[in-house]
Amino acid sequence: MPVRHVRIDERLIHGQVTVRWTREVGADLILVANDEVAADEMQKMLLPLSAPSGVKTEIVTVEEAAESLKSGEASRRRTFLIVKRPADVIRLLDSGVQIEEINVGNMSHREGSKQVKRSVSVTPEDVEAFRELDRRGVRMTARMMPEEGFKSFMEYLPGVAG
Amino acid sequence: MDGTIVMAIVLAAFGFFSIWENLNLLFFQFGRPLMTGTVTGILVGDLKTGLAIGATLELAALGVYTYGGASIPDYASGAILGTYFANQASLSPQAAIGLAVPIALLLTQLDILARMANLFFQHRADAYVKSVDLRRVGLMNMLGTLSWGLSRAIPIFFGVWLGSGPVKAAVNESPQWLLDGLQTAGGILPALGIAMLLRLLPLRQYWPFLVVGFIVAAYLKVNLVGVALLGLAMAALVYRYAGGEEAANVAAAAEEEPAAEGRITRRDLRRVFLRYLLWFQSGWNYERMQGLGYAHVISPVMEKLYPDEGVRRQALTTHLQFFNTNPLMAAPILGANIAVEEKNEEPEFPERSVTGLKTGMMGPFAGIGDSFFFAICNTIVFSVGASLALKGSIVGPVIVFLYTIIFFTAFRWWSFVAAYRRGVRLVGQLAGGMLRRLTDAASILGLAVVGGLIPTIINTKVAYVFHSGRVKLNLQDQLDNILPALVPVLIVALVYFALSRRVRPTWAILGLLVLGVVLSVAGILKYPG
Repeated sequence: MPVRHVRIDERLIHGQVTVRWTREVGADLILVANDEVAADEMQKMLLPLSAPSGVKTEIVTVEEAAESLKSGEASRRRTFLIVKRPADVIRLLDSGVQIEEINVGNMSHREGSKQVKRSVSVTPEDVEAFRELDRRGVRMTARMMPEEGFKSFMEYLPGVAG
Repeated sequence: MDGTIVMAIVLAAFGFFSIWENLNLLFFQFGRPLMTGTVTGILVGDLKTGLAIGATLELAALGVYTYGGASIPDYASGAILGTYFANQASLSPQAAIGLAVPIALLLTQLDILARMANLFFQHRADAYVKSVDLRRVGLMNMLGTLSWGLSRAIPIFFGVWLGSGPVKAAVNESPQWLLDGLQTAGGILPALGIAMLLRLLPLRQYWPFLVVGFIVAAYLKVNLVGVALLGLAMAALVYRYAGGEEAANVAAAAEEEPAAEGRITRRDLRRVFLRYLLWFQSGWNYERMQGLGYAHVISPVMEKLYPDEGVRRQALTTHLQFFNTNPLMAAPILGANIAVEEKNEEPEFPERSVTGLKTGMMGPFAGIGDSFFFAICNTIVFSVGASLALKGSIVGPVIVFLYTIIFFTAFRWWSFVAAYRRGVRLVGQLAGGMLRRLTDAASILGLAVVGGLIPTIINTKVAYVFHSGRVKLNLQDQLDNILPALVPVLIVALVYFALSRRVRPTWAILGLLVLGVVLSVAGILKYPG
């Protein structure tokens, strides 16, 4: 069973995700795939606290997430996958996870990043990764909230150096 | 000077104040139409209209909140202008909604503009990092209040000054069918707020409580305060059997022990807290969101701890980074952050631990705070408050005010000090565990209240009467025999279904306005008055 929804979100599990998206997606498992966060005890303790009741949360490395999505728990549940960077989506694809569509929710301002949409700033590395995902035929939308339209994320990128 | 200009200035000033209040102070919740409508009613000397318009808009806007920087229709300003126009043109509150809703939708664009304009102040602040000018960085954050305030004050000023004549004329020119239609639409508009709430609350898990709330309100005619008390009793029972006791024990364990005064004194803490109340979100902008405000709020600590300019620059740069969380939950993060910086023995700024703490906490705390304080607690209090205000009682907004100033402020100060003294881990566990169980219990109460809202606040009757010879068949009476409030239930179901089909709330509200007018003109529905 392919994953229900894949979201790129810097803040991982927060208000927009807990109050709106989880229900929108109909998920019963939120899988956070990020190497740094999986190694940070404090964040591992705090992130699950905000998940809506009745929804399980797993905070794992990208590698562990790939295993879980292919043959573990995440492959059997209605999984809502959240990552921080497009590069991590490529790593998941490379480990054989099937992802057909991703949604770019929030990517905040960082050193050297450029704002392409109200809630999304990308660095040249990010742009490169998005172009690679596009080449591999992954559909990409940019909806911070569920009400937003399904405009392709690639339409935000022209003119951004990558 | 003519009275309209004076009123335009007064209401524009109130609009300016209300957006600042809603971003920072949060004693009155002037971001909500019930509260701005009430105050505008007092200002124009027509409290009854203010209460009615504020309450009607509030019920249509229940379940509409701003999360993480999304802009929403500006119902608060809509209530200010709507109340003023209704009073000027002697419009019924329901018909005035036909004016207030489009105004609220238009003003959304200005909200976006304000958030963008603050980028200017953000970049000015970045320039002051070089000279480590904490005072000017703080000033830039405060100046952000201007963009926010003017984005409300300017349209309100011109709306009142130039609008009242044309609005009066337009209302006088309006055909009766349109005014009746708008009145009917105003009566069914709360269906949107109810449907949005049902999408936020755990309906699948706790739907029986919705049914119980509906039964006692529709069949037993218990008023909303009674329904809320019943919901409270049910929630308390569930909470007890779900292990609420242990949360109380953790709370007892978190009682403060007086700590020895370190480098940060109680006076410093009070200074930070006061700045947080006054300016925390003034400089909000799309690039760093609350980052500018955070740096401004915590600057007394930088002044105290880092006499060395290089270290201070590093601290300022770090605190100006992107930050965004629930505005109430920012208090414990600030408290824990101050403790980390104070305990640091190294000469350098503890960048890794501070950044780790802030970025690690802002997401989860936003999730907890948005669902608990804004989605659930506010919903319950505002629906009870608005339903009392609909009956013309000022007690409704007063209840909201007391709840906000006592409950929100107490939580902010307590969590700020507790996180400073006991560290974030304990507070996180405590707040998380407790808030989560409370959220669950409050959802039950929320669903019961929503069940009670459906038959009490959607105000519409079937106008169609079937004539055949001498037989007169009143359709409404027939429907009441099947189920009281059948029409409101059907309208809520329709909107709920539309929202699940990804219809945007903006279209839903416009759709309800049109539907109300069409059904009224067709003689199917009417506003019972």
